[in-house]
Amino acid sequence: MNEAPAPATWIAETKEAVHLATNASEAKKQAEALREAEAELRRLLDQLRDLQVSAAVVRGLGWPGKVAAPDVRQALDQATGFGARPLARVPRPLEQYCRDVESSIAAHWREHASRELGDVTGLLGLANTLAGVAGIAEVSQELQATLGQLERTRIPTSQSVALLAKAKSLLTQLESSLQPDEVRQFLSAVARGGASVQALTQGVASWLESHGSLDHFKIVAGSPAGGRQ
Amino acid sequence: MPETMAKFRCWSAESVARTVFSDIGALAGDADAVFLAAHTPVNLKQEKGRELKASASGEAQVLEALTSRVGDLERNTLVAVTGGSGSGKSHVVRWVHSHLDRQDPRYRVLYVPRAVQTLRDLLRRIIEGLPGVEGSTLMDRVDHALSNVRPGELQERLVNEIQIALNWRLDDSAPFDGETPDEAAAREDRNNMLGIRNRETGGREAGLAELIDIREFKETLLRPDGHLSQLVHSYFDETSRRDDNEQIFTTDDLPLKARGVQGALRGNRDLLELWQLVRQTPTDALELLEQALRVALRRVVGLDAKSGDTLDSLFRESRRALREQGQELILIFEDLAQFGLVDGELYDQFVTQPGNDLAPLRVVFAVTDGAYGRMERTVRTRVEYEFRVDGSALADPAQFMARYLNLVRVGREETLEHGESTARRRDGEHWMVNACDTREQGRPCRFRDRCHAAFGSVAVEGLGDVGLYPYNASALDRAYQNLGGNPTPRDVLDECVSTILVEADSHIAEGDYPHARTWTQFKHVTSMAKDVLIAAHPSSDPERNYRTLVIWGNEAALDTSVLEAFSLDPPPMRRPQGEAPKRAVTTRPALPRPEQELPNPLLPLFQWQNGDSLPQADADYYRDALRNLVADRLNLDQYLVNAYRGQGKELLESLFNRTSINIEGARGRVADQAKSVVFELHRTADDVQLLAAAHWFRDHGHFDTSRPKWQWPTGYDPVDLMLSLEVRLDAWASVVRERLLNEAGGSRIAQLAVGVRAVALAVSGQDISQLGSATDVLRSPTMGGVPASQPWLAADAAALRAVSALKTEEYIGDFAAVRQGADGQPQLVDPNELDDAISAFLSDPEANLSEAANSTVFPAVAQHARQLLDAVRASAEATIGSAQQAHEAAVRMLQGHTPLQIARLAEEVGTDARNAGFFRPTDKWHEFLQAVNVLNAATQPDVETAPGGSLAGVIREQKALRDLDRLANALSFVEHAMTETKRESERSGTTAGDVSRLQAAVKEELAELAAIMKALGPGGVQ
Repeated sequence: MNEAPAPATWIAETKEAVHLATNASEAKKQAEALREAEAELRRLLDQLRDLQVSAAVVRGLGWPGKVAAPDVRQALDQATGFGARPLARVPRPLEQYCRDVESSIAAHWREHASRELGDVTGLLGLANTLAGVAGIAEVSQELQATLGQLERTRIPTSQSVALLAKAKSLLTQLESSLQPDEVRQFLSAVARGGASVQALTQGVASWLESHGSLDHFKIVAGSPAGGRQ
Repeated sequence: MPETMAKFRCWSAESVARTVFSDIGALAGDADAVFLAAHTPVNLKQEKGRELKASASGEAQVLEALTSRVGDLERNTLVAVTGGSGSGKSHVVRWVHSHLDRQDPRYRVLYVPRAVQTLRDLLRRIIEGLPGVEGSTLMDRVDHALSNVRPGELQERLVNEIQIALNWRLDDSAPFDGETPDEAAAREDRNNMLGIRNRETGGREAGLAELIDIREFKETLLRPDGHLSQLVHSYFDETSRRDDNEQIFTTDDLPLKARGVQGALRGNRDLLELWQLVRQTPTDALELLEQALRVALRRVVGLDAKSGDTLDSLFRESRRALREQGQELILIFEDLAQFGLVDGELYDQFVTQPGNDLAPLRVVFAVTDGAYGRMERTVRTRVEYEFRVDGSALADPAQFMARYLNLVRVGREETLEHGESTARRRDGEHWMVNACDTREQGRPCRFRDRCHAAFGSVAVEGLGDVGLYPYNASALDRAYQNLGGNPTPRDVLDECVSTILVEADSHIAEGDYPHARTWTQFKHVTSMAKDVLIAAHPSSDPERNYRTLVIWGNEAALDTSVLEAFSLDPPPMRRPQGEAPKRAVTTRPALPRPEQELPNPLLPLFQWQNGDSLPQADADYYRDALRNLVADRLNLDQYLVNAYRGQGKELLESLFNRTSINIEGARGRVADQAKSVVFELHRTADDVQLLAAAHWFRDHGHFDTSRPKWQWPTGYDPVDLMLSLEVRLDAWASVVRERLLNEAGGSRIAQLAVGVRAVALAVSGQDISQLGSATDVLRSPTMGGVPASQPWLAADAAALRAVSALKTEEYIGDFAAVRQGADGQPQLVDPNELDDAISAFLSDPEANLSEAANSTVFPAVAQHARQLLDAVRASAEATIGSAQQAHEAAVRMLQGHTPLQIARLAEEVGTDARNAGFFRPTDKWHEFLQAVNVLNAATQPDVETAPGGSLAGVIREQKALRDLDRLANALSFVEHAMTETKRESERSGTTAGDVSRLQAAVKEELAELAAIMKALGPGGVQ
């Protein structure tokens, strides 16, 4: 027995339209389900679009991607029949997938930033300390602002790479401005939790005086960062 | 042995020319004897004047009237001789002139004969004839006026002078005593036409002169062939003028039918009213124009001058001189009309009474009745005697002719010699000799007795018996009859003397009289067929003998002397020895004369044989009779042609009808030989015999002379007539039959008709598989099939016309069927030829339709074939394109389904939609079901190719094309209904509309999610 061919499109569409118009409650329920699904899917789609942008950033930094769990794909396939239940089953696994992707991307980004700048939090403190030091205040302030922006980035955007490069450049510029070397070591120790008393050499004292920064430093009891320098 | 009369003539052409003048004007004034010698006394009726001597009669009364007052110095005498043209009135005046005693010292005579023709000659004749005057300055002026001017210039000057005369010279007519109301009205109309007198200038305004200024009016007067032009030329050319044309102007000289006159007069109320008056009473305007022309002409030709001689002054001068000598002036005018428009000068003299110093005038003139009626009233009232020619000199034609025959025999010189004594003529003594009695040195003509016995003679007072030779009583009568009902003496002289005698002279001398032209000079009515008469009177010159038998013999045997005189064969005389010859009797038995009480309808036929035209009714009778007699023996049934009805009859009618009989000289249309059979009938013995036979047989149905409805034609033998008719009818029938069968091509016309019908049926959508035989084609329905596609509609219409109009069964019945039985209906038809024809037509419709279209025999078949061929040729290309479109559309909409599947689903959806109230268009449900039904019944089209593809293919596969077109239309309609229904369903159920939209949105989102997820996976591309 031969299988009957699918009805001609132009008749089938009419048949469906007639069918729907004839059964109004069923149509209403279906419409509500569709409307909810459409909104939920739109929300998830927004997330995924953002993740897709971040993924594009980190994909170049060696991010390997994140494979979706099988239940996510299954839910999507079943939803194409527009059944209310299949539609309702789509958001949950998809949200989990989004979270997994975001975490993966964020971790990969943080790791990359640390490799490029070191302890960003410490750097922020030093920058904050030096913000008032004559001669390096401007670079310090800009570095402070840039690092603040990077600090607020959980997952990278298309601008994140440029910010990271800018911060790296400002930091290099700042460190090169701290001469002689005993000053740079002293300030780096300060920036990383406190310098030892021995680090406060005559040269350092003279530099601080000459740069009008004596009022910005104090001696407190405690172990210096990194041990005794 | 008696001397032969052969070629004998007692006159000559020269003597005729020198003695006979039909126009008395051509006879010199000094040839009175010639004139008198043949003069036949004229009966005159005295219309006016005191009673004259009872002894006087005829012309003598006129002479007495003219001379009776001689010696009376107190008043003039005017004598008018009136009568119609050619009645002999000029002869009366000429007689008077010739009988006046020129030696009488009491008067002088001025005689103006008709011979004077031009104006200059006329004036010169008067001036030179007036006793005691010179008149040189007048003649100089006239010569000058007419010598150095062209006719056109003179004509234009005349028109200008006419206007001047109308405006300045013509006076209003005054009322006169005894004026009747009509006369008064006419006078007032005339004065109104002249216009309104301007008191300051003295001229007229808003009159006829101003109308002449209108271009159309002036052009009409000046036209080259107009009457004014003829008048002007008559003053230059020496043309013999007769009084036939009495009026100068006619309505042709007014622009009554010309366009533009009204327009030219717009805004001029006075002239517009005048033009209306002219249109209502054109004769009044014409008379006024003539009056003005008289005045104008005198000025233009120099008769009118303020100084020097005028005609009036010369007349007065002459009259004064004569009065001093105690003499009177006698004026004799043979034709007053010759004075034409300068007669005013003459009339002035007529009305100028002698008084104390002028000589009295004694005037006699001849004038036509019409001209006399138009003569100025002042002159006409002064006419003392009026004589009207009463009766004709032709009251006794033989007497009239005998005088002239005698005159031409005597000759001019001898006549003048005998008539030189004026006194004898005046006294009425008979002085003229009779040539028959004196011709040979005073002795009788040697042939006198034989001639008079054979040709006849007439007793003339003063002459005795004058022979009629070369006439006889019959010939003279026929010559007179040939001149019509009421010939004038002038007509008789022109024809019977001047023409016939002159021709007879030469032709008798040549021995070939009566020659062919005599047939036109003598009435030649006959009562029997020419060939019959000729057969009864054999001659070596049958034509001339026949003419003599008719004209001189009245179709009876001729006197031997007549035959001898005309050099014709004498009849074979066989009389007993010693018996005297009988007068005017031949040895041949006289033909039996027909019964007089029975009519003879063949007379026009015999006249036709002799050259007369055949009356229309007779011609039509013979045509119909012969046509029907031939048709009766065509026997076309033997050739399967039915000539009694339908197409066969129509074809026969077109090939052979009344116009197929072409009778020589007869009126009526003659068939085109290219299209019809034409039989010529000439004035030959055989054809006349045939016509006589046809007439007799048509009227009698037999050739039994004992049962006549009309006279059996004299001299014809019944057997001969019957055979003549039979042979000719058979021959003609054979020609007609052969032509008809050739034209019809046997049963070919039936094949063409059935073939055209078969193609027409195919064109109209019939399945050609059902058109295999003549029976199929003839009974195939013509209505109810699948409608044609739009481009094929014209072809379909032509096909339906051909199918309904072409009586194919008649063509078959009339040209391809055997008829039997009492009703003659077709009983048996050979179908093979017809079936083959159908097959050929359907195989190559274009070529076969072309052949049928070129058939010249049956216009109906050719016309429908042509129209059908033209229509299919014009429609084929577009139809093929349309079919391809339909094919594509059907394949697209079927989407691989059968029409039946589409029909069922569409019906199911449509029914649901209709039950739910969503079916659209709501009013097309019925059509929707029809379309579904079409789909139900439709066959699956070939997906690859559309039907048709060529003209022949379009015709042969017309049914398939129509089915395809219908399928495509049904699918389109169903699709349209589905689309509309879907839209209505979505519109009516909003939710349903949302579902549809939301489904689309969700579907799109899901697709994008899947795509992004894939991109975020390992190996995904961002």
